[in-house]
Amino acid sequence: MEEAEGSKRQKLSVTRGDGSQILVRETRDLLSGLHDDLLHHIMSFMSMEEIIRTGFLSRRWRYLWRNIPFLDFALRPSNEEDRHTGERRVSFVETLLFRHKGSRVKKLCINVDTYYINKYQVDSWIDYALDGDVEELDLDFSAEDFPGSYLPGDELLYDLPPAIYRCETLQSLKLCCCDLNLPTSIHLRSLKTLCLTAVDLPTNAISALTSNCPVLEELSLKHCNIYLNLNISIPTKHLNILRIIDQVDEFFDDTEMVIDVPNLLSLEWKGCLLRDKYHIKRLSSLLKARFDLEDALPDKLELFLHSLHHVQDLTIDCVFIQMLSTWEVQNKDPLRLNVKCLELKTGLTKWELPGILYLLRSSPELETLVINITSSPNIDIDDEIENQYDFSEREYWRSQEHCFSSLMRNVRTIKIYNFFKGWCIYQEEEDDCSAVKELFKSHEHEIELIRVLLQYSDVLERMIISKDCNGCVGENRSQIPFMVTVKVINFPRTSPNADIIFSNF
Amino acid sequence: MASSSSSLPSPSSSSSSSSSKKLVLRSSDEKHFEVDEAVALQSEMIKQMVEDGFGGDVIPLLNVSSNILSKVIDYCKKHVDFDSKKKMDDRRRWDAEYIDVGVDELYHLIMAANYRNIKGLLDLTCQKVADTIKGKKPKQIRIIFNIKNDVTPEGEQKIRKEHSWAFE
Repeated sequence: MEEAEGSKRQKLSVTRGDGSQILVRETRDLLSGLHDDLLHHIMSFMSMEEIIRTGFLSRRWRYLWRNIPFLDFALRPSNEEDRHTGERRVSFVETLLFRHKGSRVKKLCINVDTYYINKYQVDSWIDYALDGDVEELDLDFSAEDFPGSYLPGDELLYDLPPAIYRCETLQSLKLCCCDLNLPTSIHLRSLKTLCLTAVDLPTNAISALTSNCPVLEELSLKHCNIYLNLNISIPTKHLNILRIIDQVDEFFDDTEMVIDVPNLLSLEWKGCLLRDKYHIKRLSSLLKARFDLEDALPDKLELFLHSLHHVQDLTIDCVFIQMLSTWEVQNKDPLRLNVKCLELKTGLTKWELPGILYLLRSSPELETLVINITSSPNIDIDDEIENQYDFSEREYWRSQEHCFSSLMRNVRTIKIYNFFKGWCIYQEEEDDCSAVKELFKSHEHEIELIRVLLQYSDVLERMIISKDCNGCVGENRSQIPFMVTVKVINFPRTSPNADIIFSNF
Repeated sequence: MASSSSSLPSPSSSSSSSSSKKLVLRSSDEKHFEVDEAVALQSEMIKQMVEDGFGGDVIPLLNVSSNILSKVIDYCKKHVDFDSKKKMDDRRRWDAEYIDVGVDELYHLIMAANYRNIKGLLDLTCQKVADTIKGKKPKQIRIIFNIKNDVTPEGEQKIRKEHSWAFE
């Protein structure tokens, strides 16, 4: 057996003056004794060149790389390299595949700018993987200035070989910057994950693809159709998660998007809500939604919130919250959301505070509230609103305290992450009154919010407060200052059984 | 509505709760480790055993010695905590410190992670070996991992020729 060969034990011993021997160190080659699968797993964290280099180590290693189950070809020339180097890399792949021939290919990654490469060569590499019963394909043809580097119809845009769409073993398909080239017959019976980035999808493409993938669980659409309408219609198929990163080109902002996925469980949205129209038709099964917005139009946000009223688990970010602040100060009626778990990613800056209150007023069923303190981007509040509805940041929670008596009725758990974000104080400073005072002042409404939450959560069972560890490298970076814990613990609580747990790591 | 008065609960230093279910693991050298179920279930193998009804008994881990098992449990405990807190930076920092071990221990951790089927730990340990190999000459790699060069000089010449295409 090849495997046993490398693991033979050799012991180094030294004879002492009195004749006894001591073992200095066991020098065993444990690594070579690992099973092929494990050595291949180690190789999966290395580049192809480095993998091949291991062939020099010993006889055990010599042919090991020839049956690695994954092939990762990152062929992007770095800056100083020219096209010639690109060609040399292509011949590297060709030789490697020739030597690999006959082994299984579980995963193939190709990352290349089609400017440097002949399409037929890429076709043949993909064919090789398809013949080897490939399970994962990750094909990225983006150019340097991605996204939108190739316009639809660009002759450099790589069109996929149709054989991909009939692969029975394929479980995960990731495509970036290529022409889908969808054939009329599609059957991907093992496909669980589909991720499309910077791809232009014809109107019926998503429905055609998903209806022929019986076990599909996850669909991601990133920067797709930035110049075109996007139609996400999956009428019958059950889908666990849909991830969208949407972006529009500023000169093509008259595009529309249709979302009709009645059997979707979870939605994650990043990027923008800046298209001209969103038609949200059916999202009736949705339980979970998460937003990380860069920019959005207020009427689009309103539309989304209305369509998501039945969602139980909702995560929203600062941009969203800031927009809701303008509704709150204008006394807009609260929505009626059924959310049970609400996570707020907020910097707790002035123009986020009313938005938080608005959400609490809109969520009477709320059981778990998570406040994840992040650094929020600069606020872009309409000047008119800012002037007309200005308020005192410091006094905000105190001034709104009367609202809370009818809120927070069902909240059992409150979690606060990154408490005192960015805070830094050294051990010797903690005894210094003015430093502590300064600290309290700069985090006043964090503490004030905690006070109000504790005072008005009738059935609260626990509040977990964990400190931000990233912002500070001081000696006691892992400690919330004693003064603060004392202050928080001594706040009055209406719920007699509420535990406050400080998690300091 | 009760108002809070003198009997305020004191802050606990960590978020561990004492009421959760425990499992007992036994190492190859017959030492017993009591761990929270959530911690033990980081291992797919133990998860399967619990699903098959072994949860009430002592779970024997025949191939894992007590010192390696306690290190593996450290990893699982910490990662149960991390999973509930979503802090990638902390996790990376902790992982880097955790995996700073000698090659023998690294090997035993790989074996234990593979045997107990703990994907995160398997990836962490294998990544560490890969990082150690990266950018080094075969000679250096052989010294670090005690790999005996059993290739004859003629054989080496042959390999060099065979691989020349890759390193032009």
